[in-house]
Amino acid sequence: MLNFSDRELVSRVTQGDEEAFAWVVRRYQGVMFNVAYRLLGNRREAEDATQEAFIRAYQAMPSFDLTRPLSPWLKRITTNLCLNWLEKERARPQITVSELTAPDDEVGALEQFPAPQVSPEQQVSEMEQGQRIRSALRQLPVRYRVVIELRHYQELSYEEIAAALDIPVSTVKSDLFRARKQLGERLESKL
Amino acid sequence: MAEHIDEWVFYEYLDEVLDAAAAQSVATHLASCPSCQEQLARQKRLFATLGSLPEAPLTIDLTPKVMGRLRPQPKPFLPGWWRWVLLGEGIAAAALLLLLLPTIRPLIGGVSFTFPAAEISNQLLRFWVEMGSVLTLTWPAPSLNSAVPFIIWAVILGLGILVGLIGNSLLLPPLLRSLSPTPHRGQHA
Repeated sequence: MLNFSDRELVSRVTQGDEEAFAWVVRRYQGVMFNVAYRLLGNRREAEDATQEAFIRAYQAMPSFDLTRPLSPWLKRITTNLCLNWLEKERARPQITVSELTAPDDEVGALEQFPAPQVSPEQQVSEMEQGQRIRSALRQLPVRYRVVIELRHYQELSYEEIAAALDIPVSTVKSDLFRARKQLGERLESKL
Repeated sequence: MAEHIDEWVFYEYLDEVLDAAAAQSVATHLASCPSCQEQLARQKRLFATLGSLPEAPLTIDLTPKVMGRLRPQPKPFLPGWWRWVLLGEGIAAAALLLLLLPTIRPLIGGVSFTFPAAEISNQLLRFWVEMGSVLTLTWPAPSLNSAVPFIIWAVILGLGILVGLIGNSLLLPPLLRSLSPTPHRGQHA
């Protein structure tokens, strides 16, 4: 099934072929994990969220419109799930600043996947840059983090973001503006 | 020179959501305003920085975990330690039935046997009787002078287990319900 199109895989899944769904997972787990990781800022939680998002996708797959691309649909499920988690998290005791800025286990992760074409210095530099951006993203309020994710990483239009979050376009614009302003200040100060 | 352009307009300019006239106006102003050029350059840098975030590698394959959750494993009939409780109940019920043996033996009739378990059963009964005397239990010990046939043992054990299972079917379901796992972080959404 390696060469099956998304549409063929989804079609098989809806007919009860679980092996086809395993291929969907293999194909999109990295993409969905990265959505969750950018939003949650924690590798372990992002893995949990990715699993959960796949379960939801499996349950919702019979209603999936085969004429639409699969990837944005899966990303949207992951985003909504993370948003729910983050909103529930807000009701809990807040995590400390040190936890927010603590370096993640990205070093270990990169060590397992060395890029052969990249020099060690460049690898370190990219890793530091990635940590800087993730740290700045983690410090954003949840609603700002989500609009940044949807606009910059999922490349949705203002109208699509508004529809996805069920908010007015004017709110999308103002949230995006404030999120970018805060991000800009944080990132500039760390350069 | 015209007034400087608002910061948010630049973001919309970069997002390419301004209408043609507004975009042209911004472009015209930018051509002659170093301050706004600098502002736009800062915003472009932010976009580039966000775009440079590398994809984080997923260090484990989530497929087995996801597929495992699609096909949930059947829960064991009982938690492990409850099997020992059941065994204990079975033994206790069997011992109780043994005490009643003198009463039920006339109903069964005399049976001869050659199974070596008879000696073991006698030892166990003696132990039971001695335990009874140590614990100063008041009921009379059964008089088991002759060996017990194997078939009787089987019947007694079977009845004991049956009694235990019947008892558990009444008592365990509410307990098992209270022991069922609560949702964890990975399932709370």
